[in-house]
Amino acid sequence: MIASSKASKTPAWPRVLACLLLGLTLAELVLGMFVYRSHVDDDDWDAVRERVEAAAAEGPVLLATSWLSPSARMQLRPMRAWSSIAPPDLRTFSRFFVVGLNEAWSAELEHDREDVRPAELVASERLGALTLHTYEQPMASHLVASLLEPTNELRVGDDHGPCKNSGDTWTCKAGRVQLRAVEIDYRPRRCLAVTADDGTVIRIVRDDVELGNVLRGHVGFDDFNQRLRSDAPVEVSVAVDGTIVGRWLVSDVQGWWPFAVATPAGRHELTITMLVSVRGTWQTRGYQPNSAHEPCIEVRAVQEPS
Amino acid sequence: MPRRAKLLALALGLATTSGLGIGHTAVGYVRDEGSYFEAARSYASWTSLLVQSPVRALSERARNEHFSPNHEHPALMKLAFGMSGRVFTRAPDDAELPSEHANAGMVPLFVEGAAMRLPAQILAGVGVATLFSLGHAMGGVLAGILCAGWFILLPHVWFHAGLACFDVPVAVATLLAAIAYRKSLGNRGWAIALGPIIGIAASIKHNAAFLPLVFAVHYTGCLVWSRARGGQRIRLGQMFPAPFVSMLVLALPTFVLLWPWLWSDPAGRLWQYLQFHREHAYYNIEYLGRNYNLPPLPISYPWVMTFATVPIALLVLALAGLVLRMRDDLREHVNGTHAGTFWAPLPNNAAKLDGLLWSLLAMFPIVLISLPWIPIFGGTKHWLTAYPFFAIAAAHAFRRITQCLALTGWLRFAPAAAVALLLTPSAMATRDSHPYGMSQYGPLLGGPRGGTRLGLVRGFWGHAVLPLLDTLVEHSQPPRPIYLHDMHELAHKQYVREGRWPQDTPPVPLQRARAALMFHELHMTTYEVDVWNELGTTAPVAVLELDDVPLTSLYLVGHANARAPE
Repeated sequence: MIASSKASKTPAWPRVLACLLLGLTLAELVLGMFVYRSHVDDDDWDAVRERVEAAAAEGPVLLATSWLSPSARMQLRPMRAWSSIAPPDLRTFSRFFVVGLNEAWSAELEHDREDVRPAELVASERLGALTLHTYEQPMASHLVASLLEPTNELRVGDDHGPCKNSGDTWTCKAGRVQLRAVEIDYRPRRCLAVTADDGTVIRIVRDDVELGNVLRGHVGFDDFNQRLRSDAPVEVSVAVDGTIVGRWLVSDVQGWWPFAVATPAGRHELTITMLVSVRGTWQTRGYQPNSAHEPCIEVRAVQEPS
Repeated sequence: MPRRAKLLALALGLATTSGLGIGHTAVGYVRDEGSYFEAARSYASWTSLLVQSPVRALSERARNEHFSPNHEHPALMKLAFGMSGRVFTRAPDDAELPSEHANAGMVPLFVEGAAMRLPAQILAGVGVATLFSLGHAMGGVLAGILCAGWFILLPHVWFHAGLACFDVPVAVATLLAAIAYRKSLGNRGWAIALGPIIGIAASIKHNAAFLPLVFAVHYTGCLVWSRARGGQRIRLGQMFPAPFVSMLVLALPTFVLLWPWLWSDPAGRLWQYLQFHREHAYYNIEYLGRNYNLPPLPISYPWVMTFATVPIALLVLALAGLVLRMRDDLREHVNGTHAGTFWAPLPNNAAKLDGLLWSLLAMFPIVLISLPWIPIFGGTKHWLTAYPFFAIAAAHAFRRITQCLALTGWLRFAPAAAVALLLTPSAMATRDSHPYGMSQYGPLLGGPRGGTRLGLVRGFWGHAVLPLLDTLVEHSQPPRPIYLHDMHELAHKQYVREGRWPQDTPPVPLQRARAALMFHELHMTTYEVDVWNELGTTAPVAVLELDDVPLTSLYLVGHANARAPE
């Protein structure tokens, strides 16, 4: 008890401070008991595994709790697919699934939604600590063809002539084109990465490809070290049957930059041209052409609802 | 201080050193330690040469050869690490010793890295004992325990305190230098000793080089306050008194004396040293979801990180202590009759403004890091020097609150319960996060998951790896050359020297690797994508987590888990 003879002389601040400290400490203790432990164990992954594998047959499975990605990829086979790790955007998914710890959506998914109307959450199934959310996009675009696959139908050339193809790589006299995963804006993306000498034009051609009413794609630059050390842009142009239908100048500050052009439906010759202005980067030891500032492109023919 | 309190201080110090010594066997070697171990071995071999052949050891060639490794930091702690390693190292017990293994010392108690960490752990123990003593002097045993616990139980302090690095050692040296400065204001012996003490502190790490500036601001404040409040005339001897003359005259020679690398060309090499830190490379730091690798880092960074990593109740208590102490200073009667001299510029009856001194020492490191033109150095370790003074202020606030409340009856036990309660969130956080304390965040922020959700640093030092070595051993056949990612090659070398690195897993560039480590951080996405491309899999076979937050992944080619993504 507080001594009564002194009570009247005791200022208020010690009591206020003591109460504040008690409140804060108790709050931290209670929260500490909750936060300082694992919330997702092997049983939780086991609980979600079967449902996720079944869901993967119907559409891509994405992750709302993005920092869980390494564990999710280790535990769940569908989460290792490129469509799960590095989708170009969400616009062609009529139905997709999202696994989250406490989240049903994320800033990354919101970024990938782009200008498409928000997807409709149609179901959420709690499976242990994790939840599987089902989304539908009734107005999703139909994927007609992708420039990325099959790669053996691509013709790649530079100013000196055709480039030599081996698997997913085309070796040119003035550079190289490679289908691979890259980091753009600190996120994995899968695209055709282009390394080419200053001022070189790289042409990527699909001779007879089915097009929809829109051609959609993205351009970005790999990777954060090189983006820091060069600001050189790339000029991208798209031609259908030899007629240029779109041309843009893209720099690395634009991140994973989306583009779209209207195209005539049916089978056509599609040519993507990339003019690399500056190949290398400026390092502490000066300009280094071999530390390339690589533009990377993905293109898909889609049929969008009118 | 009563004998029992001295014994308690000693016991707390010993418990801290032992706890760190035992606990940190589970902490992998951080990037910087790899360089310091290598340098420490080189410096220690110079001390052996000094004993065997002083003339040869003191030659310019021998000094340059032995002290060239890691000459961007002073030698003192690395000398201590190296000598401790020579004395306490236990050779690896494996029958198949690696070609370059650690040799047994005179008292073979620990693996080489642990032996080299010992001096820093002893200094942490000294810091805890000192803080207990200071707290005890203010408000008895409970204030002492609060003061010591405030500091050492913080997860980030505990993590750094056990490493063969300089951050907690320089925090302790700063505390000891501040005590010496405070004594030097009224005592001739301490006044003379202050210069060499600053020289020794700066020989641990450059943070201490700023102390004379902080002391000068405090001393000027005391003089101005005495003049304004007590009408005290400032005497000639007080204008430039002995403690400051000592710092001016003796600190730099002490610093040079303790760093043989400087002896050949003191001015030139000092300039190199200053330039290295002035033009320090910018690290990648994730802050609120954005990667910063160019200046300026937001001014809020060290403030938010302090808020995020220190339990809020402890911060509130410390800030209250600073305010209360400054208020007490301002209310104290200033004696108008004290006669300051050159040797004792602020004698016992003069205003000492301890609140101002604690506040300056607590705030200066945080303010310094927040300046926009300061290079991006990294995480919380760079302002750990502030924390002992927050701890002292917290002990002061605790004493003032308990004094004012004058609790009696059964409530007289409340202060003991309050100390236990106040320190529990820190202790919980440290227990939960050990051995990955650098990735820990406060409970109000949501712990490690909360820090990651907010986009704060996860742990950028390539040390969270030890449990994965067991997985590597299990899968070491067929031989798997490994990409180390952010683990420093010298840290890897240390594991090899101790016989702890799995055989048949030599480090190689990623293009030749059949296994890979990946230390997760926002900017490391680049390297993880490279691993996927080169190893042909996006599925790690093991993920090291702290409360679900992935810290490190291990990729293996040919493992059942590691199939090419579709």
